[in-house]
This record gives sequence, C-alpha cells and structure tokens, in this order.
Amino acid sequence: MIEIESRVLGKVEVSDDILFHFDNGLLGFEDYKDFYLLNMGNDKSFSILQSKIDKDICFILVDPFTIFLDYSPEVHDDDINSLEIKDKADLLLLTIVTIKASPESSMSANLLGPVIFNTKNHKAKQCIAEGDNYNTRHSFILAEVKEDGK
Amino acid sequence: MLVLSRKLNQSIIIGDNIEIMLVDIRGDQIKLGINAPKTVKIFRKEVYEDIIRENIEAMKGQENTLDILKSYIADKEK
Repeated sequence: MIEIESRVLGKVEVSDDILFHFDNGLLGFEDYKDFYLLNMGNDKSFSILQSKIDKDICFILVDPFTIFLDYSPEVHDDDINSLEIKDKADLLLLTIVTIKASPESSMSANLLGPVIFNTKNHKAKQCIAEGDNYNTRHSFILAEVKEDGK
Repeated sequence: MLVLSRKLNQSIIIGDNIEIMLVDIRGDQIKLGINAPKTVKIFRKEVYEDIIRENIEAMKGQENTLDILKSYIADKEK
C-alpha cells in the first residue's frame, strides 16, 4: 500500500489492485493514462477515478444502472476487443458525474461516454455509446439512486 | 487537408474498403453515405467534442459541491 493525495478524498491509501491503465487516457485528458478506482466510503454506487500522477485530475463516477434502470449502451466491438474483455463478468461500466452548484447541487451522468473497465487485466477506456439514445447530461437526484439497481 | 470536389452520387475511397458517397444535397446540408467494415468506428465529430467538454465540466464541478455527495453517503452509512 502506498499513500497518494486526491483533490477529492485527501490522503488515501492505494494499491495496484485498484490501478487501471487507459491506453488513450480519457477524452480531453489524453496525457493521463493511469488512474486509481477508489470507493467513496461503503457506498457502492459512487466511486472516484483518481489520476496516479496528478492529485487534481479526478472524476466522480456513478454506476448508471443504479439510476437509469433501462440504460443499455451499445459499445463498439473494437472497444471491447481493445480492452481484451473475453468474459462479460470482467466488464465494469461506470459513468462520469457532473455536479453543478446551480441550480442547487444538480447532478448529471454522462451516458454518452461511459468508462469501461476490464477488472481482470486492469485496462480501461472511455467509450462512446452508439446511436442517438444518450447524451452527456442525464440529470438525476440522489434520492433516485438505488444501490442494488432494482 | 486533402480537398476533393464531388458531385451527387460520386464517391471517394479511403484505404481498401471504405467508401464515402455524396447521396443528397439540400441547401447548406449534404448527406454522406458510408460503406465501411464493422470494425471501423464512425461518429460525428461533435460527439467527441461533447464528451471532452463534459469531462472538463465534470472535473471543475467537484470543489464546492462534493460535500453534498459526501453527506448523502455518510447519511446512508448511519
């Protein structure tokens, strides 16, 4: 275990078990390839994607399936192949949350650009959902989050 | 940038197996038909730009507002 600093979480202990490599970085953040995927307390819906090298580069992620119950993004085979996902059980899909101060604490999830993790080989990638069903700002309120996705 | 002139129903070929055809012209809008292998990803450029913009927004929005999320999570753990 080593200790790193996160803008969001302060000092946190991390290990390689939660380190993921983005070959292409995230869109607009191509220089940052390695991120820790950290829990927020015991909550399973939200997590933090924290750059390994820069404490200021971090994203809040949410499990979209706990809020948008019919969310079913189509991701290109090429993306799945580049992550070398062979078994669906190794695939973890999370979406980036934007929180705005006004109107008061409005939150939205980017369902157009989900982040997909291969939990086996620790490769990850921000993908683009195909078709016209999703955009970058699907609003939600915290009361809607159901941790078991039901 | 390579610039080519095309008329209606004329195409260009990129590489061995990508064809882009001008299928319709109406006012200031044109329609492109694309034949490409399934392995080629095709998106409107705005899609990438939207995601980049939202990623930057998501990064900015954390400072003052994260407390709301933290207190929500703390509440749940009580």
